[in-house]
Amino acid sequence: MRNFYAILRRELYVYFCSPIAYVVTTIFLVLSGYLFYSAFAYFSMISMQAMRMPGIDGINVTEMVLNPMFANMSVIMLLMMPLLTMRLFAEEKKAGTLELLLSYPVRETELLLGKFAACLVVFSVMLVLTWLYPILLWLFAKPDSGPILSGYLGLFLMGAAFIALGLLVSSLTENQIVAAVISFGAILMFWLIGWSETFVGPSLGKVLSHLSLLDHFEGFARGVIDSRDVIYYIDFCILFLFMTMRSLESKKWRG
Amino acid sequence: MARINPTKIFSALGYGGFIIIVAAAVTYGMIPAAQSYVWIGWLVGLLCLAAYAAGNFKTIRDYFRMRSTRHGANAFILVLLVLGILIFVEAISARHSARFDITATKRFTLSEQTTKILKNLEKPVHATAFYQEGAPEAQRTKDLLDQYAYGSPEFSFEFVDPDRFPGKARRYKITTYGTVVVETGAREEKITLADEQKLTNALLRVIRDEEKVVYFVTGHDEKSIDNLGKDGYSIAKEAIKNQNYAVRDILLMRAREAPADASVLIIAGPQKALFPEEISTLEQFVDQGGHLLILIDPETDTGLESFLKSYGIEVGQDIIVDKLSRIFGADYLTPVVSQYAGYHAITEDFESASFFPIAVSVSVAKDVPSYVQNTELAKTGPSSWAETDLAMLREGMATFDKDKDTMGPIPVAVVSTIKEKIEEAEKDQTKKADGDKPEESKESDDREAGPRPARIVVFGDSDFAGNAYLNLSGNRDFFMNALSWLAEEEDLIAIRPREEVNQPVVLSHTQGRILFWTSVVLLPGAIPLFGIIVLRRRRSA
Repeated sequence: MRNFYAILRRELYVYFCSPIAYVVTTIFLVLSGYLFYSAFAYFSMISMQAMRMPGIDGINVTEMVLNPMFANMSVIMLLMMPLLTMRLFAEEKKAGTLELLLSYPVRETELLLGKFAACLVVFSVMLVLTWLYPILLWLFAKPDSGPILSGYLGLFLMGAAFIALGLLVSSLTENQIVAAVISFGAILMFWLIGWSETFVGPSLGKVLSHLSLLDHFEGFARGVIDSRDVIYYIDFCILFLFMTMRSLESKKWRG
Repeated sequence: MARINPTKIFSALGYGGFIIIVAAAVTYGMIPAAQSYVWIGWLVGLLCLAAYAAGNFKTIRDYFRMRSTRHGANAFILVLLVLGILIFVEAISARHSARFDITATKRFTLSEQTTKILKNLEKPVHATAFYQEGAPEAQRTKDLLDQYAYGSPEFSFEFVDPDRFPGKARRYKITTYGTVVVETGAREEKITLADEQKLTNALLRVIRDEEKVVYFVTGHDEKSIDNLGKDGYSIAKEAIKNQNYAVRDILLMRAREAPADASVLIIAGPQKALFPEEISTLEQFVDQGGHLLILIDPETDTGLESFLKSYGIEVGQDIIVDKLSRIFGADYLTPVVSQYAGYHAITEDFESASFFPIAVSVSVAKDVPSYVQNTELAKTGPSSWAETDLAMLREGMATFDKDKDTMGPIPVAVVSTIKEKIEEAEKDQTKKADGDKPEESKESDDREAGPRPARIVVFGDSDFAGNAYLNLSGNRDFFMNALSWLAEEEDLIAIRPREEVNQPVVLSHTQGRILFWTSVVLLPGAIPLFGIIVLRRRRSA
């Protein structure tokens, strides 16, 4: 356990002392901020029209600003997460520090979870910074707080799944760029897999849409927390972390 | 002496076998029909591989004896094991899940009534929603169906694009996009513009065990359901059958009492008067909470007038004349009916005009018994009047006589709900949004106990639902709405639609600027600043 904290601290130090985390966070905030602003501005325009023409229903910030905001943030996350995870193992392998780490009396589990947690912390900081948007919403309108809570929970779980996948890919290669590209492709694959639901059979389609990282997020964005979605993200993390473990162990006996 | 190296042959065989197997697999993927060839390919490939393995037995054995291989296989098996466990966990979680709707309005939660019905669902029900691929309104329906599927393991659904699967659409006779078919093995129900109320009621209709019967009274020259001619009711019969009701004739004189399984008793345009015994049978039927649909034509003595009067329904001694708004090319005895009671379930949201060829006025009488609630469902236009001088009319001399005739709009249909008990008086009214929970439970209690309130609908014309006119404009909908409302059992329920929160927000110029600067400039700009400070301090340290 002490080792875990040591690893966590070391990793966070590396994160905050290299430009990558700042760059990723900045770009993430610029994009999601701009999309939030334009959604709100568009909503304001629609509201104006709706006031002139009564009888239009469902004009509220919860559905027209919050839901798209979460959807947008999840897409930008998909673009950004591989950049946060790419260096976690690849950098160490290239520098040769991984063998060093593995020769310490540190368990692979501690190393792995330490790195995973460090990346989660950075990601959480990114999420916390976006609380500005709901706060602005509270200032100017009355959003429903339920979807805000569940939306952030969903984003966190989905981000954790992205990080677990990125960790595995990073442990397989020495090249950070390769790691980022492969993670990006894999996440995208897992994301879009549900789309094929329409042209495969209904039973296979159900399985595929169940595998899709996107389909499980929809409920969260709307304010519905379903145990199935939560468990899926957790299972996803467990599987990829376990595979990363195996990949780390293989370093030992490959020599 | 050039001898061919056997290991080379074997390795060539190995590669060849591998390529053949891959090719066979690809072929299978592309052309599933070529199955026999694929099998042959796989067999040949496997034989080649086996030959390669036999030839290189030693190398392979050594490879498997290496530590790394063992470890690798171990790792692989472990990953498979964990994957298996996780799949198992996922399967269990898919079966047993909990769902929390934390929206303020509980937008994604079904009403208690629906939840209860789903909980008690005992046979599989399947819903097929026909939407175009990617139609925006499909999402709403999918949300709704998702909640139903969550409520019961017996409920399943699928989405079908009728353009891509026209066969399926034809089998269910789908005519419009957005139709949802709810079916069990035995019955099916079609609904359009699905909302919770419609879906739940369709669900109730398909899981109903006993067949419901709509009876047409015969014996007084009524319109016949077997008559395919223009005066017949055969098209109406088909329409009723499509709603999952059996349609039968009944001779009241012989039956002595109305059949117990009658959902609705219809008297469609009798030309001769009913006998007093038959009238008393009808009275008994109404007392037991029966539902009657009566269509009366002008200038006929049906013997029903005093019977209807006792429920506060007045059938006039007149014919409605409308010289202005009538069907183009028809005479002025076919008034257009375009004013509907918007607050009654039958004519709610009803907009298309209907036409009543040769109609008599049917209105709510001046004195209505306290236990009866009457509503005039539909009226003719303001230019019409109820002509009482029938002799003149027959000579084609219809003029409005303000002493005797009534000026339009003239009511042509009345619905009455006859209640046993006074406290049930609110039952059929649509509830207002306050205090929903206790009322809802009270309503369901009511539905389980006590006789159902009797219902009567009287139309001042029988031709409008006949074969010649049923498919004209709004006629079919009007007739079928009335029939469905009458045929509804107490199990069919009214569910208040979820209220959509309407909350337009118009940003002021300043607010818009604040929004832009904080979310697009200040917050993202603060991060690099912070980063530069941190990195600088580290360098200087």
